[in-house]
Amino acid sequence: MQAQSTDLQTLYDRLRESEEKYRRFVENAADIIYRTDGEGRFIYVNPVSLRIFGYTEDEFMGKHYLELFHPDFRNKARQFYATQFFNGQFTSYLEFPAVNKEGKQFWLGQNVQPLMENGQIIGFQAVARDITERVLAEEAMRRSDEEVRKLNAELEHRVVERTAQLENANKELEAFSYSVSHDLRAPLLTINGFTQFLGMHLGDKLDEEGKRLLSVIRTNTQTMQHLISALLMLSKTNKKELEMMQIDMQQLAQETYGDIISPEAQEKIQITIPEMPEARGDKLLLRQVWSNLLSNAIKFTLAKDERMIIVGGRSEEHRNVYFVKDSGAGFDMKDAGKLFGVFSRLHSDTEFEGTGIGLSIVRRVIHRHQGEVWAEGEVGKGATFYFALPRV
Amino acid sequence: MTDQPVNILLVEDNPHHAELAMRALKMHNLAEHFVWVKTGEDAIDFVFCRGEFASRKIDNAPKVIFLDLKLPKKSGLDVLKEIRADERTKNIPVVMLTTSREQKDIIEGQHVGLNGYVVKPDDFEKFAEAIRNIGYYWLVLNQLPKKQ
Repeated sequence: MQAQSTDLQTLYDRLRESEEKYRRFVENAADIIYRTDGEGRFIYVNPVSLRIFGYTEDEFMGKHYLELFHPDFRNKARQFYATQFFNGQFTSYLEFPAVNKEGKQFWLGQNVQPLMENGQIIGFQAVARDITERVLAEEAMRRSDEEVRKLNAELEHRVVERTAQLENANKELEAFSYSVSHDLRAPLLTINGFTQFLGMHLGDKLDEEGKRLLSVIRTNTQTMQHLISALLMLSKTNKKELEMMQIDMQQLAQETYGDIISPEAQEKIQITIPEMPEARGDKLLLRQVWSNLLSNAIKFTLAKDERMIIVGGRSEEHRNVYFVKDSGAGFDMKDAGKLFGVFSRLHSDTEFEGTGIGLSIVRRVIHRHQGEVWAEGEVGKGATFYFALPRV
Repeated sequence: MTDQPVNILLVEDNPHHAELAMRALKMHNLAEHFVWVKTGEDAIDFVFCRGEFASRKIDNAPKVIFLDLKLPKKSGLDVLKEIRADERTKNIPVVMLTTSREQKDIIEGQHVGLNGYVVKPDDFEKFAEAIRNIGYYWLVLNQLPKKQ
């Protein structure tokens, strides 16, 4: 009997010890732990629950678990748990917005288990954890994702809009320069014709000064004619659709040189146009490139004693490079950037005639072929103009 | 206006260009029976003998019409279309005066039966030569089909 009583005492002690452990574990846990009766009313809450919700233990007892849920979420929670237990699921996990005694909202992630006795639900036990930080971070992320998406869409829309505006502006500018160039020609023909009539009308009555004055008008009219033609060419360079073909560049350079060189200049200039790599491009536009580069070379070489032009080309890994080298007036490398701009000139009219458009046409044509242009030179020692076209 | 024979009808709104054309024709003795009108409407009146030109006879057609493309209101192209649309006038040679080769392409694209074009050059000498060549061809060399 004594032995039996000792055994029971030991069992009792162990049980108490185990309960004590369990109690300490529950009470020191960092998570909310609670129990409800079969109807969902609290019968136990751990200290963390009290701290987080701000209720006293007395206030808690008898409260329905749904009262901890945000009012907007209560129906949803009720449905969730009803479905869960109806389907016989033993545990469930739900994330929901909770409200504390002061009405402050925060998020909980909650595991609930029904407590069974003789096949009946006699209560529930739950472990819940504050997940506000995570939820807010996720929400912020979602919001920022949405914002990024919105910004991207807006940006895309703006790019499309701007591109359309730019295309329109370009078209208008082209139409403008085209029509200006054409309309400028009409008065030019008149000035030109009437200057000639004036000369004829005055005939012998015209003295030397009169002749000089008429000649100044005529020379300037010609300059204007050249400018307008060059502007028209520049505008055409932009508009023309590229007709790509294989081109024998040696032949094209030779033909172009033959077309533009005057017989007198031909005698004075020594030119070399060797074999060159073939190019793929628009023949009409590339002829214009050769024409402008060679005319420049001729113009600047004629003024020197040593008159030599060397044309050439070589193949590189991804491109073919062509050049026109002359022994002419050259230029200062610090001005190299200005060479290819519209109306930019490095020499005055009294030194060399020119419109300042030729090299910008060259650049425009080569850029339209996805190529590059550049130049090297030294004052008094000639210049070399290069252009590179992609190898196809 | 009496019903004088007409060699050339010039339709040109720019009086200075009209004078240039006239002088060019005179230089080459081609300016006889030359008429100049300033607008497309006047050109139509002239060709179809209406309004100011009602006393003319439609048979007395110009041997050639020099027609500026860029005219205010009724354009050169409109005038050309009206002339070509009428049985009585559709065979009158019409030479268009343009300021560019692109304009020439535009006209040709319309398929309205042009007999020639002159791109007005900036230079008077070239202009005079073009006018002379065209005038000489249509007034001297060309024989119009005999009327039925």
